[in-house]
Amino acid sequence: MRKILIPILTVALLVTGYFAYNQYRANEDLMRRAESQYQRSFHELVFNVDTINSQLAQTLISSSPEQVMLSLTNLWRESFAANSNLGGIPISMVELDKTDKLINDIAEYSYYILKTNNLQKQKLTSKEWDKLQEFYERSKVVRNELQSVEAAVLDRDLSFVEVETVVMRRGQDLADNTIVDGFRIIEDKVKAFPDLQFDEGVQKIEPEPRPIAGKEISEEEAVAIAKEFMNNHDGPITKAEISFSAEGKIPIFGVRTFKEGQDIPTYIEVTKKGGHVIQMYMERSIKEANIDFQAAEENAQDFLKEHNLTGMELVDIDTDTNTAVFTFVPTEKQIRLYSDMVKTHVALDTGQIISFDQTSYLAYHHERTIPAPTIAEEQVTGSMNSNFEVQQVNLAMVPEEFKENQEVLCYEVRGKMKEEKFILFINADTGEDFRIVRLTKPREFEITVR
Amino acid sequence: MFANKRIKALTFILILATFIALVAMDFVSVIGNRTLVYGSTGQDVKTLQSKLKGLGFHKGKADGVYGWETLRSVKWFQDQFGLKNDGVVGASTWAALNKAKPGVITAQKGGNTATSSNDVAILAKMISGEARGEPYIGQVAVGAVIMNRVKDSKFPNTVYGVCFQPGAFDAVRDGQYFNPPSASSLKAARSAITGYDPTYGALYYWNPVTATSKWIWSRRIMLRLGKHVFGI
Repeated sequence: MRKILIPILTVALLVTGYFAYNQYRANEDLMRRAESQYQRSFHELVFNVDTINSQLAQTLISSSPEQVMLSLTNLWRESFAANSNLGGIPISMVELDKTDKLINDIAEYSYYILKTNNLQKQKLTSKEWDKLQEFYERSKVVRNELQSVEAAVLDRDLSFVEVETVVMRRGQDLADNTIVDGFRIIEDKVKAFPDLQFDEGVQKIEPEPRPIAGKEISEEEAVAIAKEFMNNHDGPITKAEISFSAEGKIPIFGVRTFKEGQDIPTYIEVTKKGGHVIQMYMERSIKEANIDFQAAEENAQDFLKEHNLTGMELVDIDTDTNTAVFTFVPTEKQIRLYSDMVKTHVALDTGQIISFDQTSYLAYHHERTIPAPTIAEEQVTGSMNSNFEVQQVNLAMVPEEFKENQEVLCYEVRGKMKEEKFILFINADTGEDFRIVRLTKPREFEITVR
Repeated sequence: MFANKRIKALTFILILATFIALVAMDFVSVIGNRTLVYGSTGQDVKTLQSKLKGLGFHKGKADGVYGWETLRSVKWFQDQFGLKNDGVVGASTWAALNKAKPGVITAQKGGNTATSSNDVAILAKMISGEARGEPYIGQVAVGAVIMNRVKDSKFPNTVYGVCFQPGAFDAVRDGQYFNPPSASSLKAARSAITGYDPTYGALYYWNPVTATSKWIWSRRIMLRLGKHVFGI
């Protein structure tokens, strides 16, 4: 018996061993590939931060406008690259909010100077110089720490894959925890600096929602509001219940409603203040399209009117399989208010509104005092780029992304260049291009679903 | 003596069979026409399961064991394709399996925030991997968190940058991302890109039961949806 067993077991052992070795080799190979990706991102990050630091130094000592402009452009580019490379290493278990913000501030501030300061005519202002000096000091600290980590990585062959598997996944420390500790130190050192204050116009601002009028409602009231809304919209509701409560920028109650004989809920969100239905999503299967966009738009308009949203103008249609999203904006004296948009999603089988979002409307809609434009429409359309074929012109209030609660009166010029459709927003006071929006939808992707 | 010879021969055959089996394992999946019934096991059962899975008929694991779950999937598939629903995977069922195409839905970018045409597809795969089995609104919320990150200065500036940030999402790590998305996650992705945000600005979400990093709890929780909590 032993005579049989031994050869069998030997062969089995050999086969297993061979397989195991192959597996091990394949695994090692993959780890090395992951490691080299991480190493590349890390070394690039160190290089980016080093370049940021040296470009800041150059900007501070330079007196030639060309050199300053070049350095600022490099700063802008390098800080974007740094952000991207920081996103490429497995360090997300370390909080790096302040470090991320510093890199981002440098990008935004250098862009701001390039945009607002005509460096050909004017040197850096002392305010700008001071800010760049601050950035220089801070980036030096980050650079120095990163370089210490880099030295250790190179000298002791520290592995980012190990950081990923041990620290990130298992939450344990490595025997040589230099990488993780290094990043913690960076964040702590950046945190130790006082927060930088920026002038208005440097950073993009998400405007704060305006207070919503009305009284606080209870959960029961929210359920009743949602129930009534869906009773009118989709027929008798058999069950309605609170599904969640959110304390975001606009506090809301999330309500689920069920129609008779259906187990897929519709979600209605009701503002805790004022009891407005702010968003609604129905999830249902959608059959072949039966109605055209015009009929769908009429349905959407009727839906808005039913909910006291009048004087809305259609500004965008976005389509996908058998549904379309219609974006509307309210008008005041025929001037479109782009901050206050409302979206309705229409199923093209029956024309029913399957979702609705009036967050921006509730957050920003108010009566405005809009000055008359100083430039005439003919002046604007007359001085268009000759490649651009004008199709439609309106007046519009467009939010200023960099200034809190400020809007700019613009001519909204819709038209096309060859096949590409655009909206040009042109400042109605200065005649300068305020914003260019490309309307042509990107190419469709086919994706297989389960 | 005679018996010993037979045993030797047997041993030899056994060894040979082991090798052949090992080599053949790679080929069976290509041929894949053995008749499979309830109780069958092997690489071809695995092939069957992943085929059914790809077509949307199988939700369980492709573990190579033809169990009751697989039986149900096979019967459902046979029903849908006008075959006798006996759960026996013979020539005709294999042929149907090889011919069948999964439902193809055209994904098109909506809204103003998306930056490139692959956004919907990437987002849908991520939602599918991260929030399968969650209520629809929970799926939209996961998509909204990703879109909020793209807009936020602390995160990469693109959808793929946010999604593939090492360690950011479990679905990339455990491979769930690398599957076709579910139909509902595709819808949820479109909603999120169009700008629907049931979280009203959340940047993080985590499962309170399985969350490993401690600092995640320093985030301000804004709401709870399904098995995730969302915070800023």
